[in-house]
Amino acid sequence: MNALSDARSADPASRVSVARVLFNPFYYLAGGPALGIGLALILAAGLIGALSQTHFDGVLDFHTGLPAPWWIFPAEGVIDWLALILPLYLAGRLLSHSRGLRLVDVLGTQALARAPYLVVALAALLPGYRRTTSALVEALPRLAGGAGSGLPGELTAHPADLAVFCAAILVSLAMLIWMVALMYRAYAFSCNLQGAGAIVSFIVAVIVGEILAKAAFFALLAGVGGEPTAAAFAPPVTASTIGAGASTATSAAAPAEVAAAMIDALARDDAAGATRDFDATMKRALSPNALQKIWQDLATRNGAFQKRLESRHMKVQGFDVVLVKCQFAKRPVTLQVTVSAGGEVSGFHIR
Amino acid sequence: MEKKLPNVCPSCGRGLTVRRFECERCGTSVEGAFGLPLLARLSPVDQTLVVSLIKASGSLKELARQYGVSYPTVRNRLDELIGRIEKLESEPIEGGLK
Repeated sequence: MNALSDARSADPASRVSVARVLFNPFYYLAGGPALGIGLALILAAGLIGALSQTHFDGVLDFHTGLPAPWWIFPAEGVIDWLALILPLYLAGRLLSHSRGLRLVDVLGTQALARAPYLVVALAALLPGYRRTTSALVEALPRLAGGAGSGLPGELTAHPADLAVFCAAILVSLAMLIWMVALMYRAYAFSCNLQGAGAIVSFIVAVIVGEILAKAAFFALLAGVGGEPTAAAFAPPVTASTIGAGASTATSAAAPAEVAAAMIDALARDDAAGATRDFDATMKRALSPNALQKIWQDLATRNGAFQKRLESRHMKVQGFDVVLVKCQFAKRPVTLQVTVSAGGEVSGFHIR
Repeated sequence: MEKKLPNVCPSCGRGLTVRRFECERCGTSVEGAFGLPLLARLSPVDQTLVVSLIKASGSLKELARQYGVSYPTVRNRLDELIGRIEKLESEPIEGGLK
């Protein structure tokens, strides 16, 4: 038995344990290998998130419900990861007495620490979760405006779907807690820090990282759409944003008129007119012909358009969102039009 | 059976000193109060780590590979060891041998 195996058997800290694998996998894996695996998991979570429209749009955030180009989803994961690296590495350099601190260890362990969000992306794929999310969005007007709004405010989700939704939310919260624990452990371990200094500096770094991530998203928006109201980045109206909408619901006229004009143009089969108020990104993403096709599909499924019914306007995360209930021959359908501050259409969704 | 060199008093925990050396061939003995060298005052596990590090030519990467752990694990372990050595260096030694 050589000196190394002697040391391994003599040092209890080197024995493999399940708890260590779960909460400090960095004991066994860091640096380049962790970076490769972690980055692959971040991209996988983003691509799966694209299927369920789950955005990881912040160091710790996740929201479900907003369609966007597929590449946005993995890009969000990479931005979240990188945004936290800079403050963590600087804090580590500042506070750690270790001489061997390596950037690649901070990069690799933090990438690996985001692995639990792969489970969140998978949980959001469950059909019951998605149906319940849609039902909650349907109920948004009632929650925002109170009883008597006239819009479909009843939560019509099937009990089984609700159970799946609750289970998925609980699992997602557990994954969030696990991820934060891993992120802290990754930071403390890769920078060899412990105690109150490690905890406080980690919290500060997360806050700074969150700000950097949001700033990066807005920079990305500017690059894609020329202004931060691009269609792909309009706010998701999801269960997590209902509160925000409810607290700021208003009945301003201009956005509602923009939405009404668009729908009236579609009703006249004037797709070119319907896209007239689109912003630059919407014009690129949705041509008049494509919009015409969507409208025809809508009529095929729900019968011919008959008339506009009630509309509801609310502010969600600074955006004007107009929900217009329309009567089709078979059933009413709610259309969501997102209007930018400049009065341009920056998002269109069928509820 | 390999005997381990005791470097700490089992009663009070203080570092031990050597009182007597003896030549096994001719029986000559030397008595006095000799402090243990610094490396001998480390725990057996720490001594093994030092030996392993020397054998790995000082490469933490190589040591991590041999132990089956990550680089930060070995580096943190070495940081602990450095702390213990610095503490031992600051402690007075009876006999004056360092």
